[in-house]
Amino acid sequence: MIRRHVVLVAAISMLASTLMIMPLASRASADSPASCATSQLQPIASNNTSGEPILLVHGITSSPAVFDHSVGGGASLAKRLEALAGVSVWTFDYHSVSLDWVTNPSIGPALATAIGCLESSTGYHVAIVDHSMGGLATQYAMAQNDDQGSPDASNVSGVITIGTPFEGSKLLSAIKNGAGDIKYSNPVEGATIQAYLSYCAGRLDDNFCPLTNILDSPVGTALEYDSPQIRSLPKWPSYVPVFDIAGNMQLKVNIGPLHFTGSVGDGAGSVDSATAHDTTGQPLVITCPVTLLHPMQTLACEHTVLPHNATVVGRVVTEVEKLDGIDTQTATTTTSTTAPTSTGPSASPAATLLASDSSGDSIASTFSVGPPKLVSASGFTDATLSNCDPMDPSRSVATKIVINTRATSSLTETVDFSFLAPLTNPGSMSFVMDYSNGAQCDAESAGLAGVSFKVGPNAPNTFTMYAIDIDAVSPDTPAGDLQALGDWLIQQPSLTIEGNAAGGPFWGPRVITCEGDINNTSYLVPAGQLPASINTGLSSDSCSPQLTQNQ
Amino acid sequence: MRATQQPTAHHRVRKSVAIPLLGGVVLAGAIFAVLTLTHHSNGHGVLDRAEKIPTSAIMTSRQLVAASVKSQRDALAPLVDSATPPGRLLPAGSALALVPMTWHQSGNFANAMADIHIPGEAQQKYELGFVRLSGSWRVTFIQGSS
Repeated sequence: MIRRHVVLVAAISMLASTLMIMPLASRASADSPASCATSQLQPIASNNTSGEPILLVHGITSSPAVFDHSVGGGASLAKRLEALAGVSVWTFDYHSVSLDWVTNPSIGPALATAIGCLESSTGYHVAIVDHSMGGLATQYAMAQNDDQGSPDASNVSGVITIGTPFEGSKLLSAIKNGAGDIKYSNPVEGATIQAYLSYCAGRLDDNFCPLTNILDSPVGTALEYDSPQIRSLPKWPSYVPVFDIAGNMQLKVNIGPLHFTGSVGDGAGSVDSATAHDTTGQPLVITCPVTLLHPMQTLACEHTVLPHNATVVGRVVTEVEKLDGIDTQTATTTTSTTAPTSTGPSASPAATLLASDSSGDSIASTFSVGPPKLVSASGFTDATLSNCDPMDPSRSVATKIVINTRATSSLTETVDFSFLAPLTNPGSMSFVMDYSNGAQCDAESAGLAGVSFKVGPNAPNTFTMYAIDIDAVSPDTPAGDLQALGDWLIQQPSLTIEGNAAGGPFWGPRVITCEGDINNTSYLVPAGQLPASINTGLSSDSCSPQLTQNQ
Repeated sequence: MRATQQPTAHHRVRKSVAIPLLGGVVLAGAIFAVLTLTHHSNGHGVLDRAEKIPTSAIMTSRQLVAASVKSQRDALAPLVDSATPPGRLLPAGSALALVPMTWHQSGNFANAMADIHIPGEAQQKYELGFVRLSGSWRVTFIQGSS
């Protein structure tokens, strides 16, 4: 794990002839890893300090105890990591000053010292696991020079972040600067955040509202979205592998009998902020449905519980083990600050479709370029999305979604679909359900956020929904051609889409009729099948819908 | 786990105050009364001190039971309105009254409890969310308490 230093001591000293060439870890025996321990830097196990170091850095109003929380009655993240062979697990503690910004000498600078000491005393690069602002403290620390004059980033094998608001928090900005001043990714995000923050007003000591207690602190200002403090942080070193984990609470907001669903991130920061520095291309986004006024709901993806979420813990362990692979590959290199070629930050998922059912099970899948992604969850559904990133100019115009439910002769399920940010224009997405097999339509509602409908009873377990993506055909598609496209789709036999009076057939909130006689295949509309007179801006149609059912 | 089962800082402070035995019962009763009047909890953590409901929020909430759908929806914050499916927010003939001293505000965001009576149904407690936009309070959610 963790790029190992095989540092050869050059024979330039008068004592060179009397010294054996040895690894740095051995050379440091007089300055053992245990000597790195301070009131802030502590090993999990005092008798295990010499292995490849894994450093756990907590976040705001927290402490190292956040990593020692039992996971499902089993071992904590710290214990799971400690059980790995050949490692030593350390915690960095700044709880007494955690409401200060990372430039506080006891945070970023002290963390830099800790990283440098662990590296030089063990001979191994340091793997860092950060929660929340710990990631920003690490960002600061990595730019500091160690006692060799090299940036501390060169002492780091990789970083795994859990809920780090790299770009700051829109939630905080909205609270502090005025609700109307924030630029949201889309209207649903803005509406959901406004509902969430109004719910959190005055709610102290409530894990559902983790920001309430930091509003008046220095960090409460520094962590505003794109704040001067955030912008002045040193650039994240491109050669350090980063795996980001984000929470994604999908909040169902009731407006009397109506509702919409949107993301409030993990309650502290948004998903895009928490995945901003991921270099793997596939950050882990833990999605969970939440509601207002639901006293004992499980907050599986809320900011403060992410470090003890079982999925998160398992993935952190896996990612740390992957760093072991990096170590193996580079074990023969000498210590150097030369950075490996950066893979560059990857784009956040263009759009995610969340499905949740009335039992509380949920699935989430990302529209992504490439093979269809099979997603599943216990109980409720197996669903396969037929690829097609709405932002990808080569995707299909319409996407078919096959949903398996638990609907039985007596069980009716409510299924909610909602788009997560970011879509360039959420109002451009239209959903059409195939009701021919028993899906009910009486409870259907549709809005910018998505659709909700009932399935069963007496419905087959599998039925079909189509997401017809109009505006996203191409960001550059002329408005006239969008209209033409809409007209063309409407004219296709047996496909009925009813628009609201104000918005036209494909724009704005719409009502989807219950009368669509949908053929299962004919409405997958590759752009290549569109009339030539419609300029979609597409050069090819490489996005072939593929369906797979997971039984 | 939610924080609802944990004592609040406010409560801990109260517990640490030494209360003379004489008159303690009276004082404890007074404290209870103060806490009851200034806090309410619905099982989601403890709310901070409640305040008087601003007049503009009362006016906005009345729009929610207006006869026309447009008037009802004008009570919503614009973003919330655009995210909410078309339709009436509350049935015609509904009555709504904000519950005094249930206003909790943090900056431009607030919430309050309301009694809503929908024709043909028993009166129910709802929680309303508010956001202040250009000096005016607009509704962000209407959530039944059960």
